[in-house]
Amino acid sequence: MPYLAWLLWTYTIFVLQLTCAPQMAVGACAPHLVLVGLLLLVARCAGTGGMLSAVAWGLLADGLSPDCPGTEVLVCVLVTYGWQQFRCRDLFSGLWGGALLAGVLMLLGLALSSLVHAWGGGVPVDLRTAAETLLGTVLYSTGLWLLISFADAWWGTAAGGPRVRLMARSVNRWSMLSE
Amino acid sequence: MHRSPGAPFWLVLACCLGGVCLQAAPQSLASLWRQSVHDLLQPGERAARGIVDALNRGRTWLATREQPGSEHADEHRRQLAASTQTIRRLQLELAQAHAELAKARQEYGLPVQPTDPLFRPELVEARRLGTELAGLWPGRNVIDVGSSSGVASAALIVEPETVLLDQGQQAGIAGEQPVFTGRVVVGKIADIGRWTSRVQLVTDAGYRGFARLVHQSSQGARFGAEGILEGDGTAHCRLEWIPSTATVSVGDLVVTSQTDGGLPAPMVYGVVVSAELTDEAPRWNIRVQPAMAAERLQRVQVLRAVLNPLRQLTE
Repeated sequence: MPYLAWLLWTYTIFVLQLTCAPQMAVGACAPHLVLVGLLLLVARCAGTGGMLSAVAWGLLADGLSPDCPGTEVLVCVLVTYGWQQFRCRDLFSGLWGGALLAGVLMLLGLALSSLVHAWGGGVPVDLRTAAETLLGTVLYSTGLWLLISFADAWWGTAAGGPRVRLMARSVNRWSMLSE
Repeated sequence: MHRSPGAPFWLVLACCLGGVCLQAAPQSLASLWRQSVHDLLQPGERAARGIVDALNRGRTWLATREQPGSEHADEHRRQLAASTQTIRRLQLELAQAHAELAKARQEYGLPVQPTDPLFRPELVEARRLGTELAGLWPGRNVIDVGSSSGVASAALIVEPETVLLDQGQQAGIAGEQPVFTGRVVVGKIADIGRWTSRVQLVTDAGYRGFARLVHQSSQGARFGAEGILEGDGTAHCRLEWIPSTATVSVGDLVVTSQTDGGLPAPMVYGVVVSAELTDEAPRWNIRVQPAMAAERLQRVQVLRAVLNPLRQLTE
């Protein structure tokens, strides 16, 4: 991924998280645009590059979070690791599978973030409310991820995307046969 | 796009460890980082807000163009309805108050003749003298504390935390008069000179004043138990003599108890930051965070009671 595109994407997502995410909230559930953006970024930025991107995004997200620093780095790194490990499995390879994986990873990441927040802040947490907000945020964010990925796939079809996707699959099969 | 080779496991582990280590980063560093990130994002944020505002303005303009005046008319109609409701509610409350007053007068049985108070409050504004400026006074023999009060002028100057005011006896200031800044209690006048005076802050050891708790609830503020606020030379004060039967919670407001100085409303001491009740203790152990910040004091008001001129004229 070109650096300029990476920078633009990062800046846009964080500005949107700061300005638009609170306005997009439905009840207490606002979308977590940083995680959505990160998963979309990691889909294009594989391996070490993706992991370093996750660290950078985590550090930036820590700058927007009132919690103790490092939590968002941990969340972004683990979500990215999970994505890189499971995205190539058959179950999660399609659009809906990707959405399922994104949802599960976001749920785990945000749950970890909430736990650290509750534990670090020493604040008593109403579990039911916290769970409802968490689920709402994850569903909202997963929906957004699905929408953007669908638009991306549609755009990719128009620009010869399926051919690239088929090639990627055949490469996978070939590598499996060669093992 | 679908094939995402994973990062080396050692890198993931190192990143996770880094994240965990960051949790122990000092608060000042975290604040600096937050500030930097916000500064970095500020231009984009401003631009995004500008775009959203422009879109909203455009939408409003289009709506106004399609139906001229309808939106403003609706808005004004809503405001009018809300104001009418408020007026009705206030009228009802006024009527209720009149009825209660009439009933009270009937029950009391005697007509009440309103009179003017003997004293009326007056606030004298004073400025805080800085340490350097205050240091100039003793050489010119301006400070007139007097040996009767047992305070040496040098003592006023060398203590850096002393709050010295530029008003004294000449302005009618006397000892024990309360000192405020806005609606916040600063302390009281401890020593007086001809042109200057020293303030004993609410946090100073030896300060004592009647105080009262105010609970904040969904039904509004409610007065609670009364006690004595004492300074102990630390950044916080103690609220003593609150019985264990009283309701106290962290965040309760602490205000002045007596209003015989003539002020119409209580003044604020601070907020309860800790309230402990040990087993079988007869009283609460309460710490109060004062609302005043001595280091930021510039101008204060000293409350003094003066004879009501109306009473002097009538007699």
